[in-house]
Amino acid sequence: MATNKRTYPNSNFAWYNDEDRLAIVCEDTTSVSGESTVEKYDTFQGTGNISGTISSFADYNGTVAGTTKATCSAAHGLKTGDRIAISSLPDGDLDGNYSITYIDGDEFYFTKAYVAESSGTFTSLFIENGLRITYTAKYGTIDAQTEDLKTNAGLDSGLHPAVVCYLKARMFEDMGDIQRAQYFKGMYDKMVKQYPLRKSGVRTLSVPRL
Amino acid sequence: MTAKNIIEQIEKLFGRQSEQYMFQLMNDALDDIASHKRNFTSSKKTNLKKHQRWYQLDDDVVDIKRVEVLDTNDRYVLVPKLADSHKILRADTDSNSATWSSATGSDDSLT
Repeated sequence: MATNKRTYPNSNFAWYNDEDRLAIVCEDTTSVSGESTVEKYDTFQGTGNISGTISSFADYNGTVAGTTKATCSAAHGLKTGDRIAISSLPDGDLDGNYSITYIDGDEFYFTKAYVAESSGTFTSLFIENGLRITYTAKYGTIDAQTEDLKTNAGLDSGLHPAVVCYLKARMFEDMGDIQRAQYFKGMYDKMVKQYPLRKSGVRTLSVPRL
Repeated sequence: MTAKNIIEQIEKLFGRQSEQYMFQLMNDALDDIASHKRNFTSSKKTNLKKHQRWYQLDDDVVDIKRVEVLDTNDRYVLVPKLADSHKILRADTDSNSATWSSATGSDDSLT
């Protein structure tokens, strides 16, 4: 397979969101009798990108009740809470999907009563850092005098005077001086409204007369 | 400008003030500016999980601009937004846990 050929994930991903959740779906290409598959979307069904060989299983019940320890032949790269699919040999008695708990670099345990199996393999049920979002965000919070509004909160330095006006407006409002409060609130609104957004690039090309 | 600079300006006019109250007012101002300007963008990454549809968003997310998934070449590929989701989706799933980590911005993107 050519290394520059994109095979995974496929190109049929899509997203949508509600107030506080993001949904990731894939076009469902499975064929069900009597049902159209055109433009049907379902959850991501692909295979994870972390896998490895389990060189031995051991009874971990003495440490954590009802669990089995897996020792891998190399660093597994998993974290506590990660979900994996295990396939065990020779009988497949430990086959299944599990949420694992990290022990060390090449060991983890999972909740399943120990059954003697010689070895096995595991594959993650996720793509590590496989999803990236870019979003407009709230600014960071300030909770120490040494913190800077630009470096700690992300507020453009040109808008720092607006914060001062906002504070003055609120302070005058607390004192009952509504006239001054409105004056500084007006200044604040004007600064925020007029402050230019950053441009993403050159929008027009000026061609001088030849 | 640091928080201390701002507090000094306020205290010059109003006298000694509670530090926590000043922080609260500054954070109120930051939230108010964010709701009006929407020019502070950020990126985060999380695991793409098999059989999981919903990913809980952190509280700092105001508006999602773009969503990308990692391909086999370790490049992030832009995915489209589903315009009419209710008519073409299969049954929902219940899990929605997600742990987001900050993106460094060094990753390559395809748009």
